Amino acid sequence: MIDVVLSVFRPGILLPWLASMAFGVLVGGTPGLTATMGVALIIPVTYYMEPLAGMAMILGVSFTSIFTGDIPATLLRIPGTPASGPATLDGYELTKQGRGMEALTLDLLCSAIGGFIGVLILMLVAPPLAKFALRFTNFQYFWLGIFGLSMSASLSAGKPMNGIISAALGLLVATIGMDVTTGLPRFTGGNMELLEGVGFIPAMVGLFGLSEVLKNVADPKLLKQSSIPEFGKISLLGGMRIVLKNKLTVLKASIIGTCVGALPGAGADIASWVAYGMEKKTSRTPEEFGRGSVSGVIAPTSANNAALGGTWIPALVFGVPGDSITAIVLGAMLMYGLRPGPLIFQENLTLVHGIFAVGLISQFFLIIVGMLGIKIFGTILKLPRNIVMVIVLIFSVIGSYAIRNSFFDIYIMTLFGILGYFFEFVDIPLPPMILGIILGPMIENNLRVGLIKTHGGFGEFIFDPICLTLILLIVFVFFGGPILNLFRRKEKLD
Amino acid sequence: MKKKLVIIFGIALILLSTAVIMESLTFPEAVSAGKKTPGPSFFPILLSVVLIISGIQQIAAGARMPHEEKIPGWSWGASNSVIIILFLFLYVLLMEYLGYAAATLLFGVLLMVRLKVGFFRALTVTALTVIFIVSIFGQVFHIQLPAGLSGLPW
Repeated sequence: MIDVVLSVFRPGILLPWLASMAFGVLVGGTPGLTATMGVALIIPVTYYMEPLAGMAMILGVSFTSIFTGDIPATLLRIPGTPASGPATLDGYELTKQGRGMEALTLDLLCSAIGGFIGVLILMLVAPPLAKFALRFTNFQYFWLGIFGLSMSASLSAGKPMNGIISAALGLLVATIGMDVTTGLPRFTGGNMELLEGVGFIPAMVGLFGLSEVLKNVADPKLLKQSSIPEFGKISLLGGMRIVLKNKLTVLKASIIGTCVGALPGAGADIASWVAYGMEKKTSRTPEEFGRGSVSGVIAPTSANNAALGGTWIPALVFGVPGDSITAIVLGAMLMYGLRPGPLIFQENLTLVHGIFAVGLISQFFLIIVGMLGIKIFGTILKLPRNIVMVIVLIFSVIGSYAIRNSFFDIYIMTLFGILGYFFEFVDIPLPPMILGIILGPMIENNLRVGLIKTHGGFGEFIFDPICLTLILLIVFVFFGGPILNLFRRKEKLD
Repeated sequence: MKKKLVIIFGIALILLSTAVIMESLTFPEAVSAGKKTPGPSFFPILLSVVLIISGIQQIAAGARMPHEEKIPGWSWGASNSVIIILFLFLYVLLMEYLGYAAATLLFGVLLMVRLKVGFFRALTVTALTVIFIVSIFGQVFHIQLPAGLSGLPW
């Protein structure tokens, strides 16, 4: 094993690995460029490299871009990647309080620790966890989707109904386009561009990015200020002390992240929301969430990077992709002449150990590269708001266009921007809508296919042990807080 | 202002959901092995029912809200939001004719000047942004930026 660890420091592996991490900073930090896109672009470069160097580049890009996606989310309330959604809540609140540096340092450290725990779990319990993940069928996936959605819907402080409205609207938007089961176009109004559905990247950029720009430009006083008037200061050591104080949160969120990541099709996007929701529900100070809570920063970021380790579990053990990134990884493995699946642990054990080593060491490199990313973005955003808002607008437009090379997506972005701006006035939270658009197809298809399998019966959806657990968790999400508070009050009285 | 907006939002939800139900009812039914199965209309109708109930709840919540302060008048700040939306539509149209770089340069500079940034500063920042985007999106990611009538994105 030591030989394997040493071998990853060979220049042939180390240099492309570090270059890919620098590339990941750029990909994650730019709204519209996703981690999946970054990995897909790396693959052709790795074609002539040895497999471990290719794997190191893939892991490097994915871990770094998932973290750097949190930078614009924290500083500007525009998620760089869909998994960074929760960073727009407490991370952004901390930035508004002049504690942006603290939020990002904690984010970086917890991303690294979460990623480390995710890979560690991948090394230790990959086969049994993958076996459990494979027990998930349509019924369980339906509830998993609802669970993820209820997590974000329940976050609307004091108004869970508004969260439900936002989630339902997101699910409704997801029904636009060609129906996967029957091939029928739904709510497209004859528009060919809508046949593929509403892209969640333009919707996300509009809801978070454009709506924020519209809010800012409407306030002349705000416009003259710097985008981050006070960035704050904190050393890595200072950040580590705060992380150590919240070690249980980090551990809990990392385990949740890895488990959600291990479920094929779930991935980092759901993991971050589930971890955030769970943390809020079990917190002794849930009222601080959404107002700049440190735990609100730590939990989702630990989970989204841990989920990356989790997504490799079904990919390596069964050759089933955990998310879109591991789907590309599986393709790359075949390109290298490898056979992902149970046999890889016998035929290519050295490579598997190499992947584990790269995954663990990447977390240390992430701290260095990530710090650099924070400094770069922090410097750019010291510009006055009237300049930054226009730059954000230009990036929002190109980010929306780039996904499908479509002008139509820019209109979609604009529409969602207006919607997001209006939603702020009526207290409708934005994150559940985005998650609804992302999870909509998964929820609808699993519900319909499940009902077809049971000939319309709901028994299988309720009486299966995993389904029942998920249903209880959903009930806990909405009613757990008041129940826990009741117990705590009783404890205090005693 | 908020009271009115919440009530309008509730009404909009009900109208939208009703329209979705009407449209969904036109979808063909799904049949498998001679039995009716949940078709393409099943999920949208389910969601619309939830949204109608939510709409009624919003109207009720709005009606319960206390009477509001006066709506603030039209201001320079408020007009900025409208101008940005209009500019965005113009920007897309311009991109189709002028290509990405020229249209972005024009859009960026005009908008910054409107937001009271000095002309030369606006020009420099926008030009640097355009160079960055053309090199990263265009050259590294090979994303086809709008070429305009000249056939080139710049």
